[in-house]
Amino acid sequence: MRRRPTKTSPVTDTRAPDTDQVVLSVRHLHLETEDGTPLVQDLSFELARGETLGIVGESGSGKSLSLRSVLGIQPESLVLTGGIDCAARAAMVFQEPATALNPTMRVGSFVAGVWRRHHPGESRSAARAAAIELFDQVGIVDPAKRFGAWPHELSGGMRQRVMIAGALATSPEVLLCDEPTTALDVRVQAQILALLHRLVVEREMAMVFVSHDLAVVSSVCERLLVMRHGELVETGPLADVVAAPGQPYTRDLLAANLARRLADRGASPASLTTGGVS
Amino acid sequence: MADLLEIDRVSVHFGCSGALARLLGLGGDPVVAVDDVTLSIPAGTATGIVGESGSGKSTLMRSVMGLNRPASGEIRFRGQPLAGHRDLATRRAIQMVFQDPGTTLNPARTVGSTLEEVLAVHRVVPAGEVDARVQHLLDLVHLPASVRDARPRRLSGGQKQRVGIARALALEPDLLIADEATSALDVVVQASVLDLLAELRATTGVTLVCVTHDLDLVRYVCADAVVMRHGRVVEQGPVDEVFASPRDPYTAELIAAAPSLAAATGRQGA
Repeated sequence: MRRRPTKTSPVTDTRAPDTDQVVLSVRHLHLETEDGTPLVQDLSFELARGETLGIVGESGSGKSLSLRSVLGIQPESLVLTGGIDCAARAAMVFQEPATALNPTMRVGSFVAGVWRRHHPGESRSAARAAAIELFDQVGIVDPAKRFGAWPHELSGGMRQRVMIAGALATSPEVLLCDEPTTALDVRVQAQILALLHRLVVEREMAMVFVSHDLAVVSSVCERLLVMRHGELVETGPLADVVAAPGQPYTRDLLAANLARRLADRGASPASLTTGGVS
Repeated sequence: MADLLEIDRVSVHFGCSGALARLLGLGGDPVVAVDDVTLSIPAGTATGIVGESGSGKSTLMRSVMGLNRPASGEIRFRGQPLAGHRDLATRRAIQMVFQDPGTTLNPARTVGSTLEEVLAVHRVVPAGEVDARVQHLLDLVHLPASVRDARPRRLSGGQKQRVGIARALALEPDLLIADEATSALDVVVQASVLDLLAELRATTGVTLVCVTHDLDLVRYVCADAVVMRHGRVVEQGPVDEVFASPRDPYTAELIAAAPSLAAATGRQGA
């Protein structure tokens, strides 16, 4: 694909991973609308086998759009230039499982169908067994019984587990997650994050996890990429970036984290007085 | 003396009930959204009501606003029971900032005309002073004067929520209820809007109730915390006590589940 010249010198991912191990390579990705408004500008990053990368940015930063471009499911009206090499099998988990799941399909049939498409020649009963096994792996209790459930019969957390099972049915080497816990309550979110972390380790999958929440990303990712206004702001090992942010915007993001502010403020804020709710 | 807001054994039910529903065979057990809640909020305080989806936190506060009617119990404001039909003065005294400013602001009106309308309806200031008051309100929420002639679609999410706050404050309420007022905002914007709420509480003395699923938000803005689950209050008390030594296992679970940046530093070198 054609490389688009850029006016500014881009911030690029300078890490040089072992090229044999690279499962996803995004080079100079540029997305713009038909009337020429740039949405993603000169984004480059690489993902090694088994690596976990968190992409953090505000609404409109281009983080989800970049992730969707990896699978080629960005809106068709957008003009894409640059190179995306995803040699490995990739699968995506979306933000809102209620809308991502087909409401007229039993959740077991959905997962079994995906599995069968990726295992041509296998029988229906083999697909059913595989789906039940996947349900078990993603922590769905009583998986054989849940096979015949409709999406609306499940809670948000259970639906997201079904989505993850559907993604796993393709035996992905790269798992793409687009804000998969944003629609969930905090306790369910913690469970899903723990599940993703376990699956990534067990299956030696690479993962790209897009979120607006730095704290969520930090619980599942080792590397961080910060985006703003469609451009890469900063990238590096997550712990390093959090400990010593190199860019003003990253510092703003960290400064906005309420837990950090509370820690800075000390245990008891002097300006607030307790009224004693009774 | 009575507290500003007293919620006395309030329950709120949803679903088909009543004679007509029974006649049509639609009756059944109603969903109990709020279950026998008693709560008292003194004037001048900042209280956070925390809970997950379906805990009844928003429903309870919407009852205080008069947006739904409790099945039983009584809500008293300044010691007086709140009636089903409220007079203008009572409605003025309790104001709410909603979650999504994109859908709660009139898209056809400019920001200036939105604020002028509430000032006029409630006769907050004489007609001659409306102009100056609108300007004062925009200053109060740190919006530039140019926003006055803009329609909501021209504004960012954070700016829209500042307009929502200005609209609520235009009526000089005694009680300001912020219902997930920052959950639709980006994290940097959220922090600035929370700082604004804390500042306004200090300058205007308004009693603040924050309804949220975010525990850090409660710790950041509020002095008191109320934890709700399945329509009931499971724990309440000063924020520091609730967070440092939660008495209810559910509260402890919520605190433990909150994602933390500390995970990043904790895994460093691992």
